[in-house]
Amino acid sequence: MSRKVKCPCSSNADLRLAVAWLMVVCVAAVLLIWKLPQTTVSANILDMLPRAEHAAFPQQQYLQRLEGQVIFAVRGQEAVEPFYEALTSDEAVAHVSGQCDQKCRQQWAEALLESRATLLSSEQIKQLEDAKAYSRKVLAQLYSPVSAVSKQELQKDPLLLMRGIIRQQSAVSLNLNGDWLTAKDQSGQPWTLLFVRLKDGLTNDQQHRWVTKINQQIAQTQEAHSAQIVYQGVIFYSDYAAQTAKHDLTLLGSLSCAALLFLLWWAFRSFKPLLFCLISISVGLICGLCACLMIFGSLHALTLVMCVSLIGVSTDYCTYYIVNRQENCEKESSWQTMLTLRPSLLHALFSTVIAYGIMIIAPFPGLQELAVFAAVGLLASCMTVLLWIPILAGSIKKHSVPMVSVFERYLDLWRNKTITAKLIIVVLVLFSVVGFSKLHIDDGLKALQNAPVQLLTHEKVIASLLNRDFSQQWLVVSAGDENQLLEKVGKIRAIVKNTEQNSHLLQYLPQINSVAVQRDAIEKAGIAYETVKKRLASVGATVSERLSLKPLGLTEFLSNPIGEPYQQLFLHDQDKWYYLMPFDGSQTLTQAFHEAGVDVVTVNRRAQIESVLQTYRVNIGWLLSVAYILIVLTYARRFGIRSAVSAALSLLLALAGALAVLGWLGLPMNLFSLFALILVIGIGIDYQVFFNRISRKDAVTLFALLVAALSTLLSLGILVFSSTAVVRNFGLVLSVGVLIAFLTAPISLLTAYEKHS
Amino acid sequence: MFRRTLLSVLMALFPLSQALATEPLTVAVENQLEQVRRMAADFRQVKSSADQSLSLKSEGKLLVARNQGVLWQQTKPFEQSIRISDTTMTMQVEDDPVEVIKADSGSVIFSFVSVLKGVFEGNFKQLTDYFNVEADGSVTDSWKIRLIPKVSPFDQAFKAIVLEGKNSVDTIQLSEKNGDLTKIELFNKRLNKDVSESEMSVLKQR
Repeated sequence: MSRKVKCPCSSNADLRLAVAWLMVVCVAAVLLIWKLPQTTVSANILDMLPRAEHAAFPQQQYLQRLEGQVIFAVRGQEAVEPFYEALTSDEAVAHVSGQCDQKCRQQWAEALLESRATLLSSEQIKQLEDAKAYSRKVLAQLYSPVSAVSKQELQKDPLLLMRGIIRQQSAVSLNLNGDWLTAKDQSGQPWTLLFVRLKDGLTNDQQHRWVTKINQQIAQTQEAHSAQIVYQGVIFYSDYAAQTAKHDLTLLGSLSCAALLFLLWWAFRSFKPLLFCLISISVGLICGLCACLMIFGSLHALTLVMCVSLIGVSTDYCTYYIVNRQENCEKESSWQTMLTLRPSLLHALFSTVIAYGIMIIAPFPGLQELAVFAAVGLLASCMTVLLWIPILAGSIKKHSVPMVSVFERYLDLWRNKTITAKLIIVVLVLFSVVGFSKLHIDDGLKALQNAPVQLLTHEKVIASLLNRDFSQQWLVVSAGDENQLLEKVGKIRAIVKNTEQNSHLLQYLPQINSVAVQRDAIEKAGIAYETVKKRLASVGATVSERLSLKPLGLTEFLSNPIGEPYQQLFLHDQDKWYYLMPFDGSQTLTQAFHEAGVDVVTVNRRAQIESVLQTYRVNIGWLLSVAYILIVLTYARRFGIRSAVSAALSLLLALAGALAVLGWLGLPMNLFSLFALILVIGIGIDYQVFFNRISRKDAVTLFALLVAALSTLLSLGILVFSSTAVVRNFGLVLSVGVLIAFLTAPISLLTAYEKHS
Repeated sequence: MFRRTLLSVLMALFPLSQALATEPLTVAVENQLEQVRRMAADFRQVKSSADQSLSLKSEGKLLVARNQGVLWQQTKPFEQSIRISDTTMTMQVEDDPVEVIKADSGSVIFSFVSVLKGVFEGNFKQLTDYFNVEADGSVTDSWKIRLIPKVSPFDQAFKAIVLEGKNSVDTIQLSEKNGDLTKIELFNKRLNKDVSESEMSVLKQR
């Protein structure tokens, strides 16, 4: 039925190139097999953004520290012990605090004794100056029925400094209940708090295993003791994102593959072309992944998700060749077919690479990865089609384009310059204009990724229990040494203390004296002690001859049990010391700090990221315009001004329509919508090139384009079902853009016919 | 049949009868002390360390207005006054400046202070969350109430708080975990109407 044509290879040179390409692909495959097992896949959406170091402090170091911290709150006393046991026995956990038994309390008391000079308040130091009054005070406490000063305490701390310190710190809402640290919620219910520090450098898998295990443990414990357990920690958010991405990758990826296979079978009715497509796709994937791993050393889960969709784009070249080959296999050799198609394939590749080149400029690690993957992958796919497929496709079953009449009819709409064709354009223009009027821009992080409600409610409970703010906003103070830093923190504390509504900040502002202040206080205490000693002797209480009170440096203080909770407020990097306090950015306070001569910097991580997103959205917007102009100009050089004008119109309709759909659906436009537009330009121009290059049979080209467009839609359109908002947005914009690019592909026929008539 | 009914009735009554044996005295003493709305008394306090090497004696006046506050005015060996209300404790030694401690939520120090306020007021009903209450004696004659701490931080500080009295509190013993003992004797007591308004007005200052 169908005549087969043997493959006369055009030259040995072609064969040699094919062999060389085979070797390149083999090397890439070996590299990939070697690299892949050691690759970490990041799932944090923030990793896709620039790793901008904040000028004010070593942000990455601080964030890494935050990432390892998890807080649990348990309601229901019986559940505490077993849950604590489960936590401590886990190998991913470095440390759990929250339990304090007799021995631990003893250690606390000793640490407090040791840290007396560090923690003395300025009021206490002032009181020490009046030795007589101070001795009256000590005696009064000794006689008071409510003070319960033991003889032991008097021996160890004859100036009763510890009591004063504890009294100053009474604002802390945490209490020891039995052996456990507890806090009460608004309804007065006690919750036991457990602070977990995870081991450094856990892999994604280890993190996920831990999160899964903990969730099971929580479910079990809650069931067994009718308790309630809530948690807060960066790890839960990143794990959620990782799992969502993984879910998308497997589910959408396999759906997309199945749909593509079906499509290709429908289009070619033969096993061979399908095989060619698979070869071309696999080579693209191998080379793309290999390039990413060699350049970045890591992969982002979202990149992988988006990469799955690029399979659809990479089939375009193969599809385009095979459709033409199947149509002409009786008339010409496979190399002749390739020779006629090569210029348009190369031009299409060139345009797409321009589009991706722009993404590489953007300093977003995740998107650079995507760009490198796509550019290299598509290049490799195209090379495979150019060098291998003609060899393999020598004998191919002839298969006429299905539904030719439909395509012809659609083409006639444009050829005959019918009202319908014009109407299509008018409708698209109207669709775009109305959609644009409804379009809103949102660079907010919330629009990118939706955190699960459960995590947010848990965080709320813990935030209210601890009166703590997890919103990643900080006030940063830095200084050249400990003493300067502590002096500045002291000034901030004094200001905050004087304002009523900011008392919640005091928990972050411990009274920690610099060594200089401590020395001064110790001297005053020594003088006061002489008088106190005499007064005590007069009522029969004997105390040691000399007062033992020593200064303690910040580093030593932070490493003892009393100072440990404050560790997270301080950061030491190279020659500088930093103090960081969660801060909601009150203008009046910052101004007051500046007026007091304390140079504070406020850091809002969310605002910081959002402003980066905004900046890049604007810049990518400009780059997009540049790419558009560049692509249209190269097109004009090749195909002439007249067809460049219609190609420009088709592209513009695709771009505008793709954005307009966001307006129609009430979705926000953000940076990632623009990244989708870059792909729309690349794919849209491909269609124009393919369509205009061939003059022999427009229906065949249109069919090739349909297969290409459908494969893109099946792979990218499927992203609309992603559970990550940003991927959905990307998929939607791309799908609509590609659809319009396909529908308006024959647009040049309108002008062409005008010319003829 | 009859025996079984009797048995079940007895069994049902048994826990009740047991409760009847102890409940009434604590409740009765509670009710009795609730009648004491105001009290003025002289006190003698002895604080002694566990090893008996230190013994601190003091004297003064105690003024109590139930649900309003307590004023501890020590006159010997030196002057000091401690005034406790629901929200604050103010202390003054001789003519030194007054020191104020506010009841911040969750403050450990203030939770001790309010326990002692409850003890002075004889209002141990409010202490049952933190202490087990045991009673001895009879309400018409003399009685003894023992408060045994059951929760932290009180169980780490006290062994027991013991109140003895007849109609009103006569002695208070604070027995600490480390062996220290504070003994307070109240005498020259005047109750309710015997305490004049002008005397009580001292409590309302600040």
